[in-house]
Amino acid sequence: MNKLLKFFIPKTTIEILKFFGFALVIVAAIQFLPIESDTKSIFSVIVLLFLFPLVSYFNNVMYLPTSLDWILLAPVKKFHIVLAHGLLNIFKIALMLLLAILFLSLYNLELITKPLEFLLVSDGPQTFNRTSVHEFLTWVMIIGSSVLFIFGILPNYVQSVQQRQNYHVKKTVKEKGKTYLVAFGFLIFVFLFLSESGEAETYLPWFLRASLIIVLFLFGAIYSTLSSLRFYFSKKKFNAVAAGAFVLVSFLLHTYASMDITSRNLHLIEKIESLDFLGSYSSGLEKVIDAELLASGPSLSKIAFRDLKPFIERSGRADLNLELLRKWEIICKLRNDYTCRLAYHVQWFSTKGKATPEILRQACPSDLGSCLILYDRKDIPLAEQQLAAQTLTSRCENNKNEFEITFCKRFKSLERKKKK
Amino acid sequence: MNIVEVKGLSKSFHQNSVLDDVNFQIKKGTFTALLGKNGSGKSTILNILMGHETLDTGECLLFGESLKNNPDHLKHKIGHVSERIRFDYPLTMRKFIADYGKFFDKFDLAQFYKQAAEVKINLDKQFGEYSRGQKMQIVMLAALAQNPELLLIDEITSVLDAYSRNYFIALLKDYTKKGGTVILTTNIVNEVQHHCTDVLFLSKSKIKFQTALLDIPSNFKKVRSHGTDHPLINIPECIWSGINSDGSNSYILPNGSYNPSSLQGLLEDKRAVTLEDLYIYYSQRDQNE
Repeated sequence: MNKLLKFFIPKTTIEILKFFGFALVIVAAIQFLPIESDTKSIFSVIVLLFLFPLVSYFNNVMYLPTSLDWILLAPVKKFHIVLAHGLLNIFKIALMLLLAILFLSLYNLELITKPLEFLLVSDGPQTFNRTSVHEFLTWVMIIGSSVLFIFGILPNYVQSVQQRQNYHVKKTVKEKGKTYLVAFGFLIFVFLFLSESGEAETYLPWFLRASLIIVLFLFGAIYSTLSSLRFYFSKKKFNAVAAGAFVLVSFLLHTYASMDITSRNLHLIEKIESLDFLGSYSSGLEKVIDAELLASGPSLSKIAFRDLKPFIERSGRADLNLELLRKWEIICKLRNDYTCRLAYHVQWFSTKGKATPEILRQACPSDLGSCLILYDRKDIPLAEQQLAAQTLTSRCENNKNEFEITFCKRFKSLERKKKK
Repeated sequence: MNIVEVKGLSKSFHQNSVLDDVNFQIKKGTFTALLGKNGSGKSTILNILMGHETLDTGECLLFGESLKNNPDHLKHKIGHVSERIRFDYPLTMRKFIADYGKFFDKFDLAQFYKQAAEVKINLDKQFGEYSRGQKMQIVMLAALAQNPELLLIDEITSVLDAYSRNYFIALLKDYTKKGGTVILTTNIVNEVQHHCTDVLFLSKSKIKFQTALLDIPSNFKKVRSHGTDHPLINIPECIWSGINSDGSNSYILPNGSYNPSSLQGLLEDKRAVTLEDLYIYYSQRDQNE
């Protein structure tokens, strides 16, 4: 394997440096374009952090399949070829990112920090949460499928077609049916994998999806390379190792997310996301979050607004939101906290466009949020709307309550609109 | 000493049997021509021996080691020449071969450069820039520079021009004289019949015969006849091999397929049975079957 690495690493480095030089020329050319400096920066970042690694990676990946024949002539263990291939991929990615980030940090630090803001969760130290995992896995799925298709499935398919042509073999009806069935099954799998329906998440929560995709692509790539190398290996043992890896990765991810939930330093929002990451396999850890909400004392409504509302808005998932809102309402009821319930209903209203008028009527004299909803709702009788408006007008005068000011501002804005 | 031992080898591609219960041995220092029609499985045998293809059933022993143990270290001892081998890499051949040679224990770079100069190949180009014949010559020279104990050559004669063909045949003869073993697949029988020592004929997924070239005349008989009514001519083992200048037809009969007394009425063909005759004989028999 040393010989393989000695052969490939210098050549790969030179190739990557060539592409890097080319990327720098493009970045330099971008600086002369008659566009705004912000746009120039974005283009430069795209070239250096996206196009340069992508093009040079694919260019390098191309070498192994096309040069497999001569590598196979060499007295190198096939297993070492597979291992060297994996190590080289890691080396390539690390080198490319290092070059790009090094240049960007020398050129302008903001060029890195700005895009990183999009990548990282801005309000917490935790980055491996439910939302980021969801997006990450979607991209991994798209890129992984493309790579596996181009470098794994397509060459084997072409080889198979060529063999059929060479030996004049036609596909039987059974084989054709099997091909269509596999393709259909794959589409169903992709659909289920990306599905966010309650049932799909019950049986296949995100931590299992993460393990599945990691193991699938990792072992898929190894299987494809071993098959291309015509390596003699036991498929039963291979499947057993893959299944073992799946269990291990699942366990590690579960432990990681569980530690997040029980962590003292982590923000509540990340804990909720980690809880959702575990789905129905949370082992009762939701009680930790419930307990934390209940223990939060008078600041519960603030927590609800500060943490749950942005999370719900960001997640944009009706099923999860309703589940979360349900918990929210239970906590509010337990505490008999109308402001909390109001916050819940405002959120529910914006999420589903519905609210229960009885609760609003009950809450309105004391809770401005309820009055605001009554004032805004078209299905509420006009007299009740006017009563709500009077309450809001009187309560909003010289109101310094941070929480209630939000409703007052909203009320004034609605009032102006109605007058127009 | 057997360098290659193949026992009950079978290989199918998509339920199409390419090799079916193939058995043969190759001795050290022999130059074996592996003959057969296109698609008969000659290249598949070489690819299996080289580890480019897996075998379905049976066993292949190379230098006494089973292929199923992935004996990659044996590649120090094996050179493979085939049109499918491509030294594709963004380097000139001079640099590429210098690095490629480092993979092998006994690679003779000076020999490679010397022989490349003899066949007038400019090594300062990348592999993709050479013609088909030149690519094959580079692969051949690289395989010889490895100083292997066994050379597997797949259809080289059809790609090379007459000068290069003679040059490489001479190199191979020299190589076998020094104790090297060659297995060469080809369709062009007359190119190799004066150089090889052994013959394997592959047809319809099976080895039809394996023999030393010197044994062919004693194993087959060539007869002539002006007509087609002689009973021996009509037995399935008797195969027509050509028309002679006197208008008579030549036929080949394997020894043991006839009673010597039944030869009465047929003219004796004094020309020895050649490898080409055998190639036609078995091809024709396959067609008749």
